[in-house]
Amino acid sequence: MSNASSPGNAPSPPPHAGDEFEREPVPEPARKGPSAFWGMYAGEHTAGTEFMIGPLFVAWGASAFDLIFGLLLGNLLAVLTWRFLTAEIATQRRLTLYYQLERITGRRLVTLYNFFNGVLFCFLAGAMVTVSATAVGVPFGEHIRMPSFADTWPTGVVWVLVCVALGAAMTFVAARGYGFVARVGHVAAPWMFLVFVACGVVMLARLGTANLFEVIQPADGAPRKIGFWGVVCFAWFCNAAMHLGMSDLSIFRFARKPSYGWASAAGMYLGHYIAWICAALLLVYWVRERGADPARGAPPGPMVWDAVGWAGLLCVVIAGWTTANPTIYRAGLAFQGMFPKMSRVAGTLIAGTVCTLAGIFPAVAMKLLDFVGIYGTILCPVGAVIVVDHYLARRVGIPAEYAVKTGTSFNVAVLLAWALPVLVGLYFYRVHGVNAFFLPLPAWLACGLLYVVFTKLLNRNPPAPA
Amino acid sequence: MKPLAKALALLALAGTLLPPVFYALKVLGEGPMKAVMLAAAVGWFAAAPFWLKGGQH
Repeated sequence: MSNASSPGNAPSPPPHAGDEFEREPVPEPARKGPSAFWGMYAGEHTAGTEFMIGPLFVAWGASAFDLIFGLLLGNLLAVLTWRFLTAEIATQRRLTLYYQLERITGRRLVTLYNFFNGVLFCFLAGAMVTVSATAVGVPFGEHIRMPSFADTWPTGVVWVLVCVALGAAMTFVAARGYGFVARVGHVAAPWMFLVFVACGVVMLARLGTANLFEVIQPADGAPRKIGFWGVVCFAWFCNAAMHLGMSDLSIFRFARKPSYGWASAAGMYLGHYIAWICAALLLVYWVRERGADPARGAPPGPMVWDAVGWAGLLCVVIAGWTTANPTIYRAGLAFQGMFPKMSRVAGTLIAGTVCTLAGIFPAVAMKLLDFVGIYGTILCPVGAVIVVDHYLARRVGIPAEYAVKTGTSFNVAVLLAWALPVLVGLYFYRVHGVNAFFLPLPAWLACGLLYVVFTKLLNRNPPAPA
Repeated sequence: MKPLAKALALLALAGTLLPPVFYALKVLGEGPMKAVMLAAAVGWFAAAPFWLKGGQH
């Protein structure tokens, strides 16, 4: 998945530097050409977590057909969503998600959104710490027990120390600002992508065939937890918060044309197609030739070390570091947004501490397929409120930009429309075992529908603005 | 400076991708493949910043 490329709730570093235009439409001179978007999406969707997602597909019993065609279709749907929904609204309004939401919901409800956004960013960054720690831990050899897919608790003292050291280093750099890490991430992206490809080539060479249909097969007797449509939905919704959830309004408001939304294809088909399949081949090899249990998997650090040596370890650490840092930085901004008197450094230190604690526990990284589904389910429904407000408000007879018109700071209709589908979705996930990546779309649709209903019921006589 | 950096960076990218291909074709051993890839990684991070001007967008 991506490294939460766009916060939506806070000033968004790429693709622009300098003036952020947080509370005004992006003016013509500040708009960017297409290359900035193609480069940004290609770089930001080749992240440390790709090393986890590919092997997790294998562990969940996906076949070659599921991966090759499921990812093809799912990524296409994600690109179409970015192109025809997010980029369209972004280039018509040219506002951040944060400000656009505030104009509908009021400032206090946006603060609540900030809280969830910040906490989920911390857990996402924690998964990056976990992935990086599996690479940093390789030189420790037998002194460290790496976590498997089945582990949710820390695996020992050395593991905890490695995670704390990594988390502290990432937090320290994030607290100093965003620029240096953004630069390293931008520079590293083409090289990192080729390291993924190199891993895939080496694994196919060792497996003795280039036929993916021959090598990627569910293990005999293992339960299949994901099939074709599961892969489609995962690929489509792993970045649901960014496209359906409208976080990337903050990115595409700088686009000259909505057609720049096609740039998301660079991230989807390099990072979420080729890189995922190459990473999946790592575990395929370890299961076939090293006797690894597919259900328990193998940590990415040792697998990449075995495949391509020090360059691979470097790639895992840099991929984790360059993607965790902006995530910690943005979580810090989210917390700072909640408490305006708090300094950005203090917000970043809080975010870094939560992220490091999350990284020590491998649960998030090892259950990443679930986590990104939950992440999308919680955050993406608010995007439906923006879509209804932008396209449908007049047609269905509800006021557009309700908070601006009424001066309210807390639009209860939005809260109910957002919370109810999320709670129902989480109920189905916890109680009925529905895979989390099937939930964002129903939650998004329900939120849009409920927003119309609750606005008609609760906001029938909007008061005059204060 | 920039043309030289670009040439070195492209060479480093080739040094990242070609060794695994040669390894697959059995014309390069595993040890040399990993060594060339490490050298290419160092070369990339030494040269690419002067070519890509990363982070400016």
